[in-house]
Amino acid sequence: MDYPAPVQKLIDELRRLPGIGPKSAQRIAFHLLRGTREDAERLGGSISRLMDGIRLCRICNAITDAETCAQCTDPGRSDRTICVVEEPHDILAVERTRDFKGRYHVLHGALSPLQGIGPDELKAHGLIERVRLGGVDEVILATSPTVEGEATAAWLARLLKPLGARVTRIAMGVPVGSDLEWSDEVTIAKALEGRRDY
Amino acid sequence: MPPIASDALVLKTSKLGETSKLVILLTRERGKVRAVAKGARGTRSRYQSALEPLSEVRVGLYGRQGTELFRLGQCDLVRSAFPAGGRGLETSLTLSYFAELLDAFAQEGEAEDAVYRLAIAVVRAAEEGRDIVALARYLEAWLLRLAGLYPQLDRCAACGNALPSGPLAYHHVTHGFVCASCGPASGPVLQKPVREFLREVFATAPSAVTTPPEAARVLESFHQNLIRRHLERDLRSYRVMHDVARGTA
Ligand SMILES: [Zn+2]
Ligand SMILES: [Zn+2]
Repeated sequence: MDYPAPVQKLIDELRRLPGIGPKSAQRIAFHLLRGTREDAERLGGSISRLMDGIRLCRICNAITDAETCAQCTDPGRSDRTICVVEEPHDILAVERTRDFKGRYHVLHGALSPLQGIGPDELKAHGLIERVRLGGVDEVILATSPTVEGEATAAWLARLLKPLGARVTRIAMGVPVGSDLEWSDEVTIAKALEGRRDY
Repeated sequence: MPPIASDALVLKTSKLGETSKLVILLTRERGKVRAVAKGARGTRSRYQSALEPLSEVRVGLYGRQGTELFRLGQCDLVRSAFPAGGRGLETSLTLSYFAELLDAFAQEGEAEDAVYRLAIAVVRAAEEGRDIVALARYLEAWLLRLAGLYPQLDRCAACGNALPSGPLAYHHVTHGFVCASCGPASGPVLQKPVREFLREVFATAPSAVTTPPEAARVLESFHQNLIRRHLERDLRSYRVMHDVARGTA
């Protein structure tokens, strides 16, 4: 049986969302049909307003609704340290630690030769300029612990070091709460490499 | 149904759905295959670092005879390419290029032992820290030759007579090197050291060759032309490799 066109259209759109399969899409569509017009309009409104006013921070490329994001404008944070991440949501992961009080820079990806993502496809230019302008003591490279994340870090280090900033890489290794026995040799080798004195 | 067990080299992975990865493997038993690795993303993935490009692994593949998409079962890391990539930016980017080159030349579902052994030998030589530029020319030359695309080095492509020692003159129309009476060359002329390097490439293991700088430069464009003519497209990683080199020079 075919659904009426507007229902089918909604199901098709919902299915494109992450984590939504055909069954869930159907369930959500029929849930909305059972609800009131106001409920549906409120949801529709917030989706259509989502893109209005959302932009990338002029300084760090984080997602914001102002010209500069909250982290870039917070006077309680230091300009002397910049933490470089691949994606905007990585900022939230670092923020959850509540330990980092510096600024951020979002690359919007990592060097990925196999996907055709090179320097021109990443937003690294602003980072270089920020460091070039001075006042930055340390750049922390918090790209993914993958071959591509490593290549991205190596590439950035090569661009940033001549500018005089200290460039560091986050440690990689055994996840907290896991069993050493089940970690593969690369993970353990990286953990040993990043060991520190007590 | 028991899985197909095989040694394999991971060529590429891409995101699939919320938690999985689509993996392209060069297997010893079945040539190039595609497989879904369920739950391969996220910190609790049982695959850990085994699906990083150019990892040498031992896999179990589930799927019917003739399937185009397998399900990846166990995938044990035999040798990681992580240390090789850690040798520096050039090596890391060139390894990506190796993976794309192998993906482009390997046949799907068709075991090619020579290609598999070549791939493993080149990746291992990179890990040992051999000159990455020499290895790139080595891999290109051999993949082209195994695909029947490398011009003969000792016979004229036009008349079949033995080519005298000395420079090799390439002739576009015959897609090969030609002798003086069949020439002149319409393509590049490979000087004696380049020819000597090629002779070495086709006679020794990748860990044993070293490229003279001139040969590296001349052969890079010569090989790229042969590769492009065959694939009828540019390799993405090749462009990225050069963009990075230009930006960091
Ligand atoms: Zn910002
Ligand atoms: Zn001839």
